[in-house]
Amino acid sequence: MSDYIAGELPAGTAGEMEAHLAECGGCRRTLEELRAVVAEAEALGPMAPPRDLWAGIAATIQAPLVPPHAQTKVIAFPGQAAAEARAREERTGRLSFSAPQLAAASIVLIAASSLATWLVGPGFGGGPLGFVDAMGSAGAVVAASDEAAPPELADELQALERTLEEARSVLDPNTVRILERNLAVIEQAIADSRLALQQDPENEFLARHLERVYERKLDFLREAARVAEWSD
Amino acid sequence: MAAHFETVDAKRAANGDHAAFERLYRDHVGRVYALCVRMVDEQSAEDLTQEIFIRAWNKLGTFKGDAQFGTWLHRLAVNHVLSRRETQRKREARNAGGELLARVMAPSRRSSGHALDLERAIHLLPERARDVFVLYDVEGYSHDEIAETLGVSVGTSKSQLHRARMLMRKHLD
Amino acid sequence: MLELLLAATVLGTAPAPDTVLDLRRGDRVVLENLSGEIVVRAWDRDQLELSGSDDEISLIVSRSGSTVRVTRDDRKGRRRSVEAMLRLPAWVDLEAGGHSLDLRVRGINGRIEVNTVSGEVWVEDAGGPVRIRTLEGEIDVADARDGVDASSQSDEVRLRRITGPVSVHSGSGDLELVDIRSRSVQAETQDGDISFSGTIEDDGVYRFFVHDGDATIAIPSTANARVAVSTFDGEFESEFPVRLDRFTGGREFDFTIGEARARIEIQVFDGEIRLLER
Repeated sequence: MSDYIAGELPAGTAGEMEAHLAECGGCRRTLEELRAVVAEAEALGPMAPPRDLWAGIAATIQAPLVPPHAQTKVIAFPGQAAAEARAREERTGRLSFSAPQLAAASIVLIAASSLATWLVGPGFGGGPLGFVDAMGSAGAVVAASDEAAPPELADELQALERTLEEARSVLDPNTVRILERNLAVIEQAIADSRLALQQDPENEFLARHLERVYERKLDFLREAARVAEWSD
Repeated sequence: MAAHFETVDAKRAANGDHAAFERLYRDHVGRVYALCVRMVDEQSAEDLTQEIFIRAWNKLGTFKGDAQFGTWLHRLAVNHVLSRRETQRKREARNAGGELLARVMAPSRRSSGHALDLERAIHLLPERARDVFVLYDVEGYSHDEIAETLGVSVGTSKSQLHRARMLMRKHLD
Repeated sequence: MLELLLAATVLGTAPAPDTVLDLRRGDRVVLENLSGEIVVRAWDRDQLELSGSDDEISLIVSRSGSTVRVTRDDRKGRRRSVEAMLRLPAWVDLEAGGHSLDLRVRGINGRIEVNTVSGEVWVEDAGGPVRIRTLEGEIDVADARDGVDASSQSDEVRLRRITGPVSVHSGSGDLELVDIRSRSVQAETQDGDISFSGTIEDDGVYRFFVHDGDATIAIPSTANARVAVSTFDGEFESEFPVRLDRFTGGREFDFTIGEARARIEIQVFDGEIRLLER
């Protein structure tokens, strides 16, 4: 019935539904009630929060490196410097921290009872970077993002991708869809990491992370190849 | 035009302009807060709303301007609410005697009459059905988008929507 | 005549005739390329018993050396989906593979190895090592006493009350590890959250990797560990007192809880890290 409300039923089925509704008072009433629910839900608007929340947000995004008083549990880090750092990052493509900031951060000592939070800086990767169409327009299982792969993995990656491409025609379409969706997740992780690394090439964590994601891609392709073997 | 100004403000905010970000906040806080109330509860909605805007601030660098800022923010809000709720659930499950928070929320101070009944009834829905109902009927997401966001199939999204509407119909009697 | 008819009716509605086969210590049971729903239960006989829920079991059991295979009976119209219950001695080694297979295993103390494309895998009360690979499908393991190695490419993996080495991975699902007692834990997800609650053994190594998601790690307040946190675009929150031992450029730091005995590594590309007291 919800499909009928949305106008998504095929013409034939919708016709049958209408014929039935013409005869059945119970269904007609249900349909009217459902339409009323939908109309009311659509009419629900925004709500004002009971108090102004901006002050709390402003305090965090403008917070200085060291908390203004001992009770503060949230330490924005690198805090004040974030906006400047972001601006700098846009100019230079790199994010760097000054020595005093590092010194200040390294002596932070938090009392045992408190809950400490670092906001470890604004990043440039992750989040809504846009879905990477790993499959390309032809919908091939193979993705072409291996240029940044560690050399020791590159050969096997290529070989497995070829195997899979060949197996595509014998695989169950549903399996192909599963494989493509999962490969897309990995390709997104690779794209995130590479973009981040481009902007912060000295970052060792990012380099390790990218390598790790490639290793996972290899694991995934091995799994996929195993599945392809069964499908003969 | 409004969308254009928003994109400009979003770019300014990404460069550290607090005033621009505050304008964006003022324009969108009502919708974000309402989403939090409907998908979680009134008690958590203030904290969640603040977290969402702080997260948005930290992630503004990834806003490309090809979508509207509101759409981008809203998606971030939905994802944050879902992930927060999950974390909360795990934490509660771990705590001794971890009882889930009561589902029925206190009467809203800002709603009245039928809208109030509707808001209450939303909170009586099972969680998955509520998510789909809020996202589809209230927020106007498509089944495809909901399926992707909630990690369910389009069929599940459709059947949960129908289930939710049927239950709402009863609650509103 | 009436009696005969009655007998026929009873036969017609009775459960399928069971297949029974004697097993010897050291035997390995292999469920080969099956789809459908298979339930495996341990019992106290040294026998395999196969029963189906419909009148014709479309499975065949065959032995070759110490390997006992359960395969689809293709003569019966290449039925793709089966529903069956298998009883096995607890000591047996079990391997299962299939395309779309829901598998529930309880009480097996031998080695358990599962490879599927899709379908849910539930393992309970396992005395031997458990290894599970699936592309798409939830994995749920409870009360395993000799470690778990589990990977689902696109669904959640849940472990409860596990002892022994733990290695879990999900491509785009959450990892939920509750009541883990292990000196070796590795958990990794590309797009999902990790939650861990367990003991920290003094010589243990605990590694958690997330690309896009949160890591919530709950450990005892008495834990002794050096903790290394790395993140690219994340937040870190701790219920433990934190004094930084090492700090490299804002996104990587080390600190010590109690004494530096165990090692805990938490790496999150984009998400929140929470270190909580259990």
